[in-house]
Amino acid sequence: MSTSHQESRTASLGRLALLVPIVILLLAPSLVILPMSFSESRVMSWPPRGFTFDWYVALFASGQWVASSRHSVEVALLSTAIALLLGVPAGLTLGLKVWRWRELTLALVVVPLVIPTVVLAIGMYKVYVWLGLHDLLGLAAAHAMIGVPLVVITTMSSARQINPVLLLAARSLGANPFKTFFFVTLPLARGGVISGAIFAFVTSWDEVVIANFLSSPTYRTIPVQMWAQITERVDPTVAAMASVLFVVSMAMMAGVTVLRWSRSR
Amino acid sequence: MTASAAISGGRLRLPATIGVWPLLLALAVLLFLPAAAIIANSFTEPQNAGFSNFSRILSDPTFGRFAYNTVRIAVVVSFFTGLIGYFYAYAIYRSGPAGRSFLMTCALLPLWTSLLVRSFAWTVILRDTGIVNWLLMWVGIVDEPIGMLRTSFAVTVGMIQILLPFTILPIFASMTKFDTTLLLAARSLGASPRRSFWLVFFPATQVGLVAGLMLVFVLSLGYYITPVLLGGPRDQPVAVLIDAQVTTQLDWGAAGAMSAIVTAAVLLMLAAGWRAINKIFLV
Repeated sequence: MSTSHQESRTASLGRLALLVPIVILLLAPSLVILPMSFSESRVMSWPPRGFTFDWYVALFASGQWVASSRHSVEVALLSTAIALLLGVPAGLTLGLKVWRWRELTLALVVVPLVIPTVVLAIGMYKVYVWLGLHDLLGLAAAHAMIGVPLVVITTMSSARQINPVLLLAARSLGANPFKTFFFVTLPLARGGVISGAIFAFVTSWDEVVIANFLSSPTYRTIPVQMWAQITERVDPTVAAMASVLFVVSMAMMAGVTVLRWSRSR
Repeated sequence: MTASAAISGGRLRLPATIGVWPLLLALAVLLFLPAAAIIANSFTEPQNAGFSNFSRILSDPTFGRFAYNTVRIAVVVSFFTGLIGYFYAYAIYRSGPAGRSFLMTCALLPLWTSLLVRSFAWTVILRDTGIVNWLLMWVGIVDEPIGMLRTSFAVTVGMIQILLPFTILPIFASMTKFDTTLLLAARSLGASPRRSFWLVFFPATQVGLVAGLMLVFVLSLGYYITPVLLGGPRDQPVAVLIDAQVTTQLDWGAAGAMSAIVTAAVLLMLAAGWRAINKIFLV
């Protein structure tokens, strides 16, 4: 008995020894950005030297960065709205109904997630010109298309947990299909809808490759601006911008965790 | 479905699947049409090209080299994300509540951090004046910095970190569905812990591993940002070549043919892994 106990202890110590490097690997990129953004050194060498807010001051003073932040927010909000309008009904249908082409429909919805974004980007670059979509509209449409699969998947998995008897009850009590949808189905699936919305927002907020092709020089989003800066000359304002993005996404992650935690109680 | 159709006695009768039609229409126009248009370019640029773009590309050593880079990186990254991901998911599975939520947070954190920010962060970590070289010199393993940035090593590490959540999460999902009484049964029938792990636990959780590996492989075939920022000239994937065809060579025919080949590969892989992916992510 004692040997097996010892065995399990060495096993768990061994597991710990292997886990530490993996945890470091997972967290490293998230942890270096903040210290670099406060370093006085121009070349971003380790260890950071001194402490300065200069890069943040430069960031917020730069018209380009302020404009691209506004563009990023506009595109992300509009594309999330489009993704929700299209994705929520689709997710509910896929989750609640069974029909012959259900799996094919599902496959068609998932495919956008795996087609290389470069292929989509140059295709959209070409076709969206014919459709008259560029800058805000073009970017929002494109980002909605790559964000909508996530909305469908999360809404669908919430919808599958709905007891169909509730929907039948609403109908038999006299609610029409629209009332049933807005007052029964949608509230019951709201967890999936909210997480889908967040995924769609983050997808758009982060997207570079398509945005690079569809945005004109006067309508750059943050990732496009960052990409241009990283590939031309790196200076710590990029680290400052990266830190802002990092803090925003951490706040969102914390928000979602709190939301989930408060609901599970 | 028949039940709900029977109840709906209103005048306005919408088809039961009306909810998916606006989405499919939008996808057709805004996503599938562009993808089809670029692939069609391989036959129409220049006019009446036929299969000439394909034969030109397939006999071009440059394309061969980039295709080899793409597949090589995808295989190596899939292998390590599978191995590390399974181990990490198992560690989450075996941990107590506190350990579980800590390890889960560490696995989810990368997903919440922008891909561009993470790739950029790796350039800061791996550069000559970065933290890894600083540590190596401080410990005294090396006297001068090792050039790690713009190498296969950098791309591989960066992509493993970025794609690791995509194996950890499905594998962990399949582990939580595992019926632990099966292990007790195996043990009580005389199987050693090691044997019962490999003959009972691993086969039951394999579907999560397959789903994760498929996803990582397919996603890494299309990677663009990370290889450009972290890789050297010998680590550039087809995605970079496609971009160059359009932006610098203005050779839409070649870009179309390459896009067709990569997209076909991705769709074939997705079809091959569909059962596992469907079971883990879509049910």
